[in-house]
Amino acid sequence: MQPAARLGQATVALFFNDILHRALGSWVPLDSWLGFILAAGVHLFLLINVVAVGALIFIWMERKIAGRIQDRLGPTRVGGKFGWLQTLADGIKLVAKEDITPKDADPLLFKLAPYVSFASSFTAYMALPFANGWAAQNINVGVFFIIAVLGLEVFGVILAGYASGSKWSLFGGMREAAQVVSYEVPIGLCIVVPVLLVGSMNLVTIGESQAGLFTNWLILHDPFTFAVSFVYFTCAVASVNRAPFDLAEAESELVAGFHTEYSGLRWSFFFMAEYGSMFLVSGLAAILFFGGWNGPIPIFHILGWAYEQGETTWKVTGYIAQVAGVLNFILKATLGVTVMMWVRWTLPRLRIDQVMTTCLKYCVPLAAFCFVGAMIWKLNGWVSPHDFAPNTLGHRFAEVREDWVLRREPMASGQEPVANENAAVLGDHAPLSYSSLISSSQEASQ
Amino acid sequence: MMLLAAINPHSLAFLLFALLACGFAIAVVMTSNIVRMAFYLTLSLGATSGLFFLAGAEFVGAMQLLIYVGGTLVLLIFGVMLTAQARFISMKTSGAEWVMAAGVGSALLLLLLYAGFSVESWNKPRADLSSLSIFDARTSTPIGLALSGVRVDQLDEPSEQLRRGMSGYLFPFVIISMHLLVVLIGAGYMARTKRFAGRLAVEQLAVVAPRARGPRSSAIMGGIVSGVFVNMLLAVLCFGYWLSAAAKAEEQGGMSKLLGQVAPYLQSAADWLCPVLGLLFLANVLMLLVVYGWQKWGVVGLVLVTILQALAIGNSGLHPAVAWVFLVIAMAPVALLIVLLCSGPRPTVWEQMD
Repeated sequence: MQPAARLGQATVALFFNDILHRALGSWVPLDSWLGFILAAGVHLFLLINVVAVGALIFIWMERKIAGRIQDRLGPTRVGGKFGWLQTLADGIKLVAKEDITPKDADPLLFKLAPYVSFASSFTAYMALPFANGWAAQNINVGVFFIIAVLGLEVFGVILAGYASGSKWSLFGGMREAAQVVSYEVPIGLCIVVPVLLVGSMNLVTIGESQAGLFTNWLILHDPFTFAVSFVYFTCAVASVNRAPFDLAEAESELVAGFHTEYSGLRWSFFFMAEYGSMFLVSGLAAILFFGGWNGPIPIFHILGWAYEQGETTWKVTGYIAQVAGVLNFILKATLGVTVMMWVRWTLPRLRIDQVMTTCLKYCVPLAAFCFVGAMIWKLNGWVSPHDFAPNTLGHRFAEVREDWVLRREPMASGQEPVANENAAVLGDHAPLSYSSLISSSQEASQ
Repeated sequence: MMLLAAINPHSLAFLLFALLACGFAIAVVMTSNIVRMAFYLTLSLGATSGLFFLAGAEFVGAMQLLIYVGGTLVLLIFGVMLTAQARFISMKTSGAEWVMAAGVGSALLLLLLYAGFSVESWNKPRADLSSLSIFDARTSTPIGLALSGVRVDQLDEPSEQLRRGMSGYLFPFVIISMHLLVVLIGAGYMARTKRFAGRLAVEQLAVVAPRARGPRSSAIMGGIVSGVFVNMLLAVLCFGYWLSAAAKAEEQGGMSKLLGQVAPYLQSAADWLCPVLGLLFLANVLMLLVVYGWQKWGVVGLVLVTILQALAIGNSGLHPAVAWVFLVIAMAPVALLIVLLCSGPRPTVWEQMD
């Protein structure tokens, strides 16, 4: 059995197979697919809890924050202090409500639309890493996959708008479609900037290349990434349909927009999808610009607890470092969600033409300008804050080639400046390392 | 043990996705409601992307999701919802249409089957299944490099001749992006709302003062027509000279004799000058036609084309006197037109153009 350093899916599968093999004997071989199914089930269970429990907490948070911003208290009674069980009470109320389908609705599409929205929001979590290597699927093109899947959420909204058989819903659905399709352009341009600087679309690689002091975070890489991170956040707020861009459900004009005709549990699915997407885009912002699961000061690297590159044996301290990374990541993503709530209860809703103007006249040119700027900065190797930061355990801003993170180690005297080449971010599939590539090419040249 | 070993999970997953894709594709055909068709099409295309992910082609799978499932279907739904009339919302298919569709569909299916089975390496199972790993999925970098002109998977090609052909897809990539840019500009142009407001204003103006927009004064018409003729003549001369230079050895017709007289003056010009000048003259004619269509930007374009001509002639090493002759002939109708447009009582013709 392979030593399990990281909680990759294959490792979990091997763990299950090992248990089953001991319990049932030769019925279950060690490489059985049963373990993979169980491992997939565990991942699904964990992720669905992130979305559902996350929505539970964020809705409560939203009500508290809205209350504070409007000089109220928000929920105070349910569940003792702070009204922390308020969302659960809401949930029970929603479950108890009658599930109504309007007479003019297209019954099949009307019933399926909330699940389409929720499923696309949930599917995007498949590629989201929560710590170094801790992703349900460490997809090679993770960033791209998340953007592609997140764009499908609008499909559920359009279907809901169309199938409700109501003018309000149709207006809301069409507004949402126009808005999301437009904002996919600047958000794609913004995401290209970190991908360009790091040289990989793998989210684990992007996050891990920012390990070390906070000066390694991509938002501090140069002025252009600093600007583009704000553009990204604006577009992210718009693409998950939050105020001030929540035209699809503009209460003052469209009753409730695309979910006017929905009630009960189906209605709440839309909200779970919305809060899930909020957390997702905030987490993406954390990985792309704010160092991902790496804290501002690499405490666990200084203590020597964290897994070093190429380390494959499991250790308790490494596990603790990974869990701390998860907490770090969730904290950063929650901060992003909080800012979104703050924005929602502060700014008035934009008109549709203002939304389009923001996208096409401001966000797209800004993102394109920053893209070119960051490219020139990287090409010329101009100074970045991480050039002046103290060299913490060799964690300068990492160079990445083809998903292999190269870290410049502090050079020993008289030695060749050889990069420490290990497949640290590959998880448990790491038969090929950069050093083997280099040595093989050297042999070939000799 | 037999049971567990007998089931190949990859085949099972493949069957599941393939069944989903095919089943929803059939559902698309069977449904008469057009929005439900779009929904089933999404599911079918999504299952196809699942097949790609299963095969380890993560980049292509994500592409499939982004382009087909996301972009195309959102556009499709826009089109369906904005254009759907009652008779399209639920479509009735006649028998003849069924027969035709079945014919076309089965022909395509046969072609696909033939193509699929004629690929040698797809017919036999891969020998070493255990060597299949996640590394097969790392295809995004080679694809990206191939699109920017380097086929990293063909660097080992032994034949020099073949390797030159493996230079990647930069050219089609650029062509497609230019095509998309043109489509974007066209869409933006058509979606402009100000344009209609402007036209309405002009039409109201036409009602108030019909003569302002009526048949243009004969002087301007004459200027345009003479410009067209001069330019046509020059273009014909240019192309004639270019063609006869190519076929000088064989023919000694009247045209090439005439050209032989002026050849010493033209000989010093670079080879590219004649075709470029000819194209610019054609552009000139086009611009004149645009001016005839009462558009201001035609005049601006005329001036720009003339400046381009001057640049081309100046940089070609032509005999200065000949260059001046060319330039004056090209400039004359433009100058005449501008004078005609801007002279006369106010409001001048220029001010009245769109």
